[in-house]
Amino acid sequence: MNRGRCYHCHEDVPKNAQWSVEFNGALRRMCCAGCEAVMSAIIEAGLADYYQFRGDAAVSGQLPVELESTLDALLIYDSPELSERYQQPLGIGDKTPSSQQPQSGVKTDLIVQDLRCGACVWLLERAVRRLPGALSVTFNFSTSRGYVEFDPSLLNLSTILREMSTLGYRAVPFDVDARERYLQQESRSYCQRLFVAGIGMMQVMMYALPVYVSDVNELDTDTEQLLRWASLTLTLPVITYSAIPFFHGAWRDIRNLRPGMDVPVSIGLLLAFTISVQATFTGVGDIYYDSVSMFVFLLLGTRYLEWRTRRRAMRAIDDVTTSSPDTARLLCTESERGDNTFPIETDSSLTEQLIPAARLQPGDIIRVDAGARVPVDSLVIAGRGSVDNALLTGESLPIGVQQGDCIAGGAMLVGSPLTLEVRHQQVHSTLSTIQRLVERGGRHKPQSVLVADRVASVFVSVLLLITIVVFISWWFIDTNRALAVAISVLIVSCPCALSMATPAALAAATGRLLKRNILISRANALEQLAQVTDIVFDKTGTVTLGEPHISAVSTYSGIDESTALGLAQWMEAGSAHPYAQAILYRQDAASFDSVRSHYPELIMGDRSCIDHMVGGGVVVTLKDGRELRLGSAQWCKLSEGDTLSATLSHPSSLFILSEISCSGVTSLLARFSVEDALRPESASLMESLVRGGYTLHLLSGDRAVVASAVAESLCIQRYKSDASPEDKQAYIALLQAQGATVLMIGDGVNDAPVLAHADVSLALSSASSLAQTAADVISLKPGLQAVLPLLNKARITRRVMRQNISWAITYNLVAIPVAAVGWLPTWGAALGMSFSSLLVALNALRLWSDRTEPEIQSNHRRHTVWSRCIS
Amino acid sequence: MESLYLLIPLSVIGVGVAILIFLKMNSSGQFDDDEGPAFSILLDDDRVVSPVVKKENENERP
Repeated sequence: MNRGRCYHCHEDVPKNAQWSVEFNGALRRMCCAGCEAVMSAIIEAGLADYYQFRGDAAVSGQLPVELESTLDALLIYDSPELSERYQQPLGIGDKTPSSQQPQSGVKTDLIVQDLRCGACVWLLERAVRRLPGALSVTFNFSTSRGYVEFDPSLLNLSTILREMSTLGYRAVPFDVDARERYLQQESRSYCQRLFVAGIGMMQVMMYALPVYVSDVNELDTDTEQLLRWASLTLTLPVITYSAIPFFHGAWRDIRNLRPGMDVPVSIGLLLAFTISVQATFTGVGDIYYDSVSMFVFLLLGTRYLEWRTRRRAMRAIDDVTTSSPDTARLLCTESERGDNTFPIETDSSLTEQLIPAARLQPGDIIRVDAGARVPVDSLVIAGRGSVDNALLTGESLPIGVQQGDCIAGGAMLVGSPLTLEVRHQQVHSTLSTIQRLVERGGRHKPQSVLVADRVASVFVSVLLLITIVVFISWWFIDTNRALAVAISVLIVSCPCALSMATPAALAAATGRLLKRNILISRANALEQLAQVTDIVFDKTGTVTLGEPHISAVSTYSGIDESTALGLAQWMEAGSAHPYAQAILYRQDAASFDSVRSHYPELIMGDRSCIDHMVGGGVVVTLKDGRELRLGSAQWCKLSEGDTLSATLSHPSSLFILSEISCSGVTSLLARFSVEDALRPESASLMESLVRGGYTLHLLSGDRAVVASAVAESLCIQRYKSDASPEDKQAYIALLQAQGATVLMIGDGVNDAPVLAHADVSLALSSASSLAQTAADVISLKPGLQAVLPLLNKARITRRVMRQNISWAITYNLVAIPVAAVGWLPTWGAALGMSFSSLLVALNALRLWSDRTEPEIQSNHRRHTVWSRCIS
Repeated sequence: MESLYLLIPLSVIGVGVAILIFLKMNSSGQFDDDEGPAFSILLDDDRVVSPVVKKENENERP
């Protein structure tokens, strides 16, 4: 018996768990009924091989009760509106051959969550393919997308989704929008251009070889001419197809009067190609087809690597789309409502109807539960509660809303359910607007890249100027050689090495990090990472696990521990706040009856007397005017003496329960100590970072005593407690004003605005998708494991970049004068350029290797004065 | 050396054919996923679907 870990999801098995599945002759213990159901389904379906081939643990299964409701909700996808949106009729070019296509075959695209390894793809493809009516099934592991063709007369979309849910995968259909189509087309066209350039390069080099190696009269003129024509034929597609992106870029640069690297690249390519063509036709002069095609291939290769990383980041945005619910609970439509202004929420004759959110029209009345997302922009018409906009704006604190307030689509409801009136259709709602903004932001170049571009354009302008001067000078010295020498200058200095020095190194490092599940979402984040002097950590969820639990309960004023917990659980029911979750997690709370023995007027289901106050906590107003409060010591209006006795010497966060009488006298009822364990890797990481010469900081919204305990146990010298998001921003701005380059590491949800303020930001994998796309670097590894490899890679990348740039500069400084005085024949220039670019590319490729990287060396700003910042 | 007059044009044609084949493969989407197929080759099996499951699926259908 395999005690300890669940066979399916590798989670710990709880002590009293009785779930198990027999597999391969042994009884496998399971952690929950959900995993048991999923594993049984997999084995019954004859797909048990999955367990042998998988590379990673599966996602924990849903409990049968939850699964039932999930499965019911899937039926919505069979409604006409959604079928129309997500299912396109099959056409020419689809995978199922037209001879096998039924008249009414349709195709649909899916975003699949929780694909963990290749075995998941295998499992899903096998399971869906055997559904009667399925025509073609493909799942793409690297993009987490699925594609299904099926016959709608035999199979429903909901049945497919149901099958996948039963196996433990959540899938959402999506309509392939313009961007997705653009991504796919662009990927394919990059691939094609690269292939054409590559094969062209190889073959043209074969043709060039005999000319280089043969003796003077060994090759007769006709053979040489034949080789030239063959080279021309193969270089033609390279120039007219593969090199097109460079010409586009050069044309754009020239129109904007800001010459970038594309301009000399294009001029060099065109000039070398034209001269070669002329030489081919006349039979006199040198040809550079090999140099041309090799140049195109190498440059295209580096750009392709860059593109792949960018594509991954753009797909992350798509996944945000799925966070918006596709269904809504409709109470009545605008037409049914008519002129009635009666309080709708009390009208019991109205039955809720589950409909696709795309069908909602302005004026419809919907109901949204606590903990659910608001489907579209809407107006509150009944109820009071608060909404969490973390996904939309990064704002961590929930905002209180009441009748007459507007809520943005995509926001999460906390507290109590609300009745809402729809303001905008789904397509016009805020979530899609913000998505558009994020996309636009992703296209903007960061400041330092712009600076690099400007420097490059100066270099290019100077280079062009030198070429012209050389040409004119030679015109007077030896008119016949003028053009050849000018081309030599242009080609030998052809900014290959210089223009590839940085992007090639960045692309190789980015690609390598991506393989290790670290996603660089902003191009020059690596450069800045190498300059980081100060690292600022967020406390909750970053250096700690972010899963608080109640470690101790102390009670006062005659209430006992389990009753206090029971009361607190009733007050916090449905709340998503981590501390509330910690309270709700406690199993030893008293039943509601014993709570009522203290407060007889409370009713289990009636939550109307509860109010959530943003930034404070929860308050229950009793009929006689007394208040029960749960939250921070300040919120609970504790007297100073009580605060001291309650908080003294407790290095854990506190949650207070208090009663305030009608006359305003506060009595402390209970104190819950909330503790959040440190991540196991935190301590060793901090040690290495301190040894590496970084100055570490800790920012926390918690009380000073908690923050200092954490900081001390981690050897972090500087910390700031009780910090609001504004304080955190100010803290970072202060560091920057002192000349520090700041890396901020956070979970991305509560500190998205702070992350944006730092020079470089790293968000951990638990962060919400939108916040992740705002961070410069996203770690898909669990916990803080990404920090060291990332910083190491950044430093090595910087070293390689410096080597490349110094090589490129030295090379150009030597080669340009040599070519300008006419000592370098054109073929020599082409060879020099190729050799130089190859050197740069190979040097950059070293970044692909993962050889044991040296520990961070201490070449950083020394520790500044040891100081503490306690506000 | 005369053979070169045949072989070189042939090699040009050969490259052309290779490019055409590649374009066809690429536009069919074969290169869209560069990770998944590495696993699927290991997991290939042609076993017949067990009849129990088939029956279940039939029951499920409306």
